[in-house]
Amino acid sequence: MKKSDTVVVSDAYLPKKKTFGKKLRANLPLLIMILPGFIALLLFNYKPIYGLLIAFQDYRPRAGVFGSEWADNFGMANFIELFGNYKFGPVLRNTFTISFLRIIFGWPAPIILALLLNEIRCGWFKKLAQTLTYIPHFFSWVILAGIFKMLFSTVGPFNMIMGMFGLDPIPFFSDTTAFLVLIIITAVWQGMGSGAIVYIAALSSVDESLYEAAYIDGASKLKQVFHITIPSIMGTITTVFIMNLSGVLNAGFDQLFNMYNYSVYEVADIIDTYSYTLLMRSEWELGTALGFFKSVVGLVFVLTSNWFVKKISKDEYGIL
Amino acid sequence: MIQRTTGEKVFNVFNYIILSLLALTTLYPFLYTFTISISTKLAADTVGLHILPEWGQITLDPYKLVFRNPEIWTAYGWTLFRTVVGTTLSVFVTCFYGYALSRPNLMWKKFFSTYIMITMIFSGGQIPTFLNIKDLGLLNNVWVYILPLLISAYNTIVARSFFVGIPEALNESAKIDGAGEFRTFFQIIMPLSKPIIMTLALWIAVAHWNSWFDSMLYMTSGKKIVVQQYIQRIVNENNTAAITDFGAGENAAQNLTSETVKSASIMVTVIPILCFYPFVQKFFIKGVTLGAVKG
Amino acid sequence: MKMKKILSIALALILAIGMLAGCGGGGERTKVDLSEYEDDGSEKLTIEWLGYATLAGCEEGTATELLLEDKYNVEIKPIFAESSNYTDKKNALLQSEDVPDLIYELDPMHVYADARDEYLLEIPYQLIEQEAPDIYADINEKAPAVWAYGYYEGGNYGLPNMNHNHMESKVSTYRADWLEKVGMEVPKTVDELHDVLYAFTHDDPDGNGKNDTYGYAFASSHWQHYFAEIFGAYGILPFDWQEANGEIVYGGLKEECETVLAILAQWYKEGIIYPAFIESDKTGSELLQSNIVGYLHDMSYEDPSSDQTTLALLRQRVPEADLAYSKPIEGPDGKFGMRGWGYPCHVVSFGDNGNSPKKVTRLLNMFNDMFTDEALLLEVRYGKEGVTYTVDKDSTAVNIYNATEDYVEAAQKRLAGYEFNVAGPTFWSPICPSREVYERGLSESYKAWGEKYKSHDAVLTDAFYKVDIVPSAPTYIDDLRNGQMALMSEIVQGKKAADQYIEEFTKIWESTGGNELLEEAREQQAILDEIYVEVGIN
Repeated sequence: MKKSDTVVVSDAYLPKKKTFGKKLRANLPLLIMILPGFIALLLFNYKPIYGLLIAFQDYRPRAGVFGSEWADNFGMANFIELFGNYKFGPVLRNTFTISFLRIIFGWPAPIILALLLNEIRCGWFKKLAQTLTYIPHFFSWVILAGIFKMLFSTVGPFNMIMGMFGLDPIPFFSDTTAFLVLIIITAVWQGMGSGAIVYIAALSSVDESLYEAAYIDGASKLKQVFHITIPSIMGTITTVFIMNLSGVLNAGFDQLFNMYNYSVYEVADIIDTYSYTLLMRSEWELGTALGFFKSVVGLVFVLTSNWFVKKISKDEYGIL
Repeated sequence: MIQRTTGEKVFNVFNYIILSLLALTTLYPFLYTFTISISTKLAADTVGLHILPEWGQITLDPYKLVFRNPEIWTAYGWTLFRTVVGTTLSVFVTCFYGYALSRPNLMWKKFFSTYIMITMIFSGGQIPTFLNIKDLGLLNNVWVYILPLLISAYNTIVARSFFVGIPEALNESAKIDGAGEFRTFFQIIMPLSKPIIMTLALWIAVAHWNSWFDSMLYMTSGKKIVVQQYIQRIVNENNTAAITDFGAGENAAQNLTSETVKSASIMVTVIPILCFYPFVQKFFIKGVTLGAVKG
Repeated sequence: MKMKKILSIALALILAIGMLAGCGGGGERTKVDLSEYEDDGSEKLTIEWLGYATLAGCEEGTATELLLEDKYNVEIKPIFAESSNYTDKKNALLQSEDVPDLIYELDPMHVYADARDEYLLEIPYQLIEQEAPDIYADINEKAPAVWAYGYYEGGNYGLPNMNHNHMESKVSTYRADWLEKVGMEVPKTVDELHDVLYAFTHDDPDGNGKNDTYGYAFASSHWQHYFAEIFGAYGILPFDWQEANGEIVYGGLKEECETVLAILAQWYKEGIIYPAFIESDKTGSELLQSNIVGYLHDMSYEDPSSDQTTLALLRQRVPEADLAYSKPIEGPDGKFGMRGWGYPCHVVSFGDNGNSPKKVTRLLNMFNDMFTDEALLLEVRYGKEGVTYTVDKDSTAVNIYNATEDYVEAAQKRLAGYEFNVAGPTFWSPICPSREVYERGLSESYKAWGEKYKSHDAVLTDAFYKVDIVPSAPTYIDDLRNGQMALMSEIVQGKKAADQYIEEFTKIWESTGGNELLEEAREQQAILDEIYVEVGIN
């Protein structure tokens, strides 16, 4: 461009900053998109949320939440009773133990499965393997527990094979450590196929040409995985990780309820079992207080992990 | 044909082996449950692996029990209703919210984000939720299967993380071409997002297909229950009957145990899913494309 | 940050709403004025009926419902709930102020909770005596301790029902062909049982050359069965309240437990006890059928003409199989027996919902009629003789009432509201039949078998029939029992010595509210004495 072509414009001719009204109008379609979800959440999630107040009250069901008095000690009496209960320490410890183990082993497994499946070139094998790994997700623990109790029983096939090699049988159902190992392995096994789907979906959006370019550049398969595949789905990985942490105090009630017995009770009794018995006994305040506690812990974990992820990824990832 | 390194070939073989073994382990419970579901009382009670049914000890009585009443077809009807209508509506509501959250220029984004996250973490409890459903006039109303489940935080945030990957540049070029936000969404964004849409559809559809608790708690009419609850009922009745002296007599007339009835009920739930699954699967499993040609 | 602001606004809102909540009291407990209960039957009452959850899927307007509506001048609105999640459904109804007129309560803790939450009407004993005199007299005669099941803080909140079926005694069974093979007789004492089980384990009684049989197994997940007859032989109910020297003790704290555990540990060491006894899902009869064990401590009657009984199925695999029955084995002092539930069943309560109290009187009359009038009871439970059921005096099943062809499908029966049950409670007749009616419904075949092998002394019951009658039991009893069974199983498996039991269990007992429970159990006797005075027992 020739110097004479440049035009000097004074401030008065620059477009003014958008007014609020203009911004609103520009955003309108997006806000309309938000609307249905917003209303649904308001009606179905926020309207009943007053129920949390029960945790702070001396609740009389017939008077309802808005007719009941506050609990002693600035409404904290129920929490004091809950935390001082002989059960609270053990169930909290058990819940954290199982939950952390589930996360440590259960979080990478679906990712690895998705990566392995991604490397399969044979179309029908890929689809079949993916379908089969997904199936356990559909079997309720009522049935799966029965199967595992039979397979890993003291006189079951697994221990029979141990016997054939001259090894002592492993008491999966009366030794607390062996029991936990079994719980974690079977929990991971059940969930990995289902968990892998979201990563498989993410992987299918990855541009093939990136791999080709890398290949031409001489990158090995392993390098491709670490430099192309994983970074492409890092958003999904971090999102799923943070979201799952909100359920950090869910240690798998269904599974434990169906697989435990009195011998392993001391490690299998978790917050949800306690919660369930409180509900059955119509202990409204303690039950709500326990639920509230779970929620607060979940919130703390989500916020912390979100902050951590944001810091590490320099704000690229994170959900809030 | 492009040669792969030895390392890669070995890895490939191991990959197939590992996945095959894994697939076999997941196949076993399926075979076990199927076998038990067609086993006679004698075979089902016997301790064993039950991979295949015992010849001569096969009966269809458990399935006959499940399909005994015409009520099951009404129940299937409602399950289909909620699965089809519920999934479709939920996918749209979820994708709308998630997509909006993914656009950088959304006003009050932090508010909308927080608004939905809170619902994932805090809940009013079973009884206040029930009271709310009653208050909204949804007791014994089939829309209770759909409306409360229109949107969930988990699905929305996952959807958002996908939409974030779609660059704003697409929106801008669409705008230049004169397309409004909605048209952009439907004609450009959605077709690019098939994997996430199908994943969401799968999750939501499976959740609808399997749910029974809302049916149990909110429905008073037997004509509006879903098939999962109907089946639960059959299993429970069978369990109760088996315990009393008098009910056991009835079980004696048919070749049933609580185990076989439970197994049949699982098969009846899982098999339809497996029939439809391949149609959904092809949307998020990348088919054979460029890569395969090379090796 | 915007988010912080939003959160603080939200918190403020919730607190603000809460402030309003702090005010206001609530209604008071309805005082009982017996004159309000007077009912001459002339008013057509509407009754919302939440009965025993056995008719899930049934609809309004069945024949039984119409029968009762007609006969008692009522309009019934039945609420058919699922048996699983019954408590969830009931709580949802109650808390949404849809309190039914009739509420079927299962365990004592539910009566307690609902009475505490002010959902139940107080029903004076006087009213029951007046309006349901035969049921009243039956309870007082057979098991007055059952009154405790409706009791809450000085008042009575329901009508307990008693199930005579629960007093059916216990019979043990043995593989007769195995006994023959190892050349032994049906054992009578614990020591003899040991020898028989030892032979069953080590002497290859099924003759297949493999060491794959055991003596002893049971469904261990049920605490009621936990080596029940061995403990019983020493007079112990390990998980119940028992009377010893005039005072209430917890069975699991008795010294003799160590003796029993030592015996069991020895048996385990000898390989007699099924090693998977802790986790096995299989019931005793399933293991018996699978040819794995040769003894079952608790066996019920089997119809000889059926081909689906344990024996019949066993014979499909082992044609020469046979079963021998006997009363449970005796201990060194001649004691024997196993735990039974005893008389109590559940409780029928009445909702405090502002409707006319006359409904209570009407219902009490109805239940009393069903209790005394056998024809009415049969019509409610079975329908019309010849049309829906037949009476087969020669039947070899447990009872003589059988469905006709048209009604043989359980579903059809349910859709008509009939439950074909002559022993326990049903949706439409929650009070169980009297002993006489129950016995008239039993077949000769069953009665003969009973004569031969049963002994009612073999039913041992808790001092109060259910261990969870004391108010704090629901809070502690599960943990206590689990800890106790875990400890006992460790001893049986040889991980701990039997003489450590009392010491170790005392620790568990004390840290799991045991002392509180014991105190309440001792008070329970005083409560019962008060009740006895009120119901006119010396």
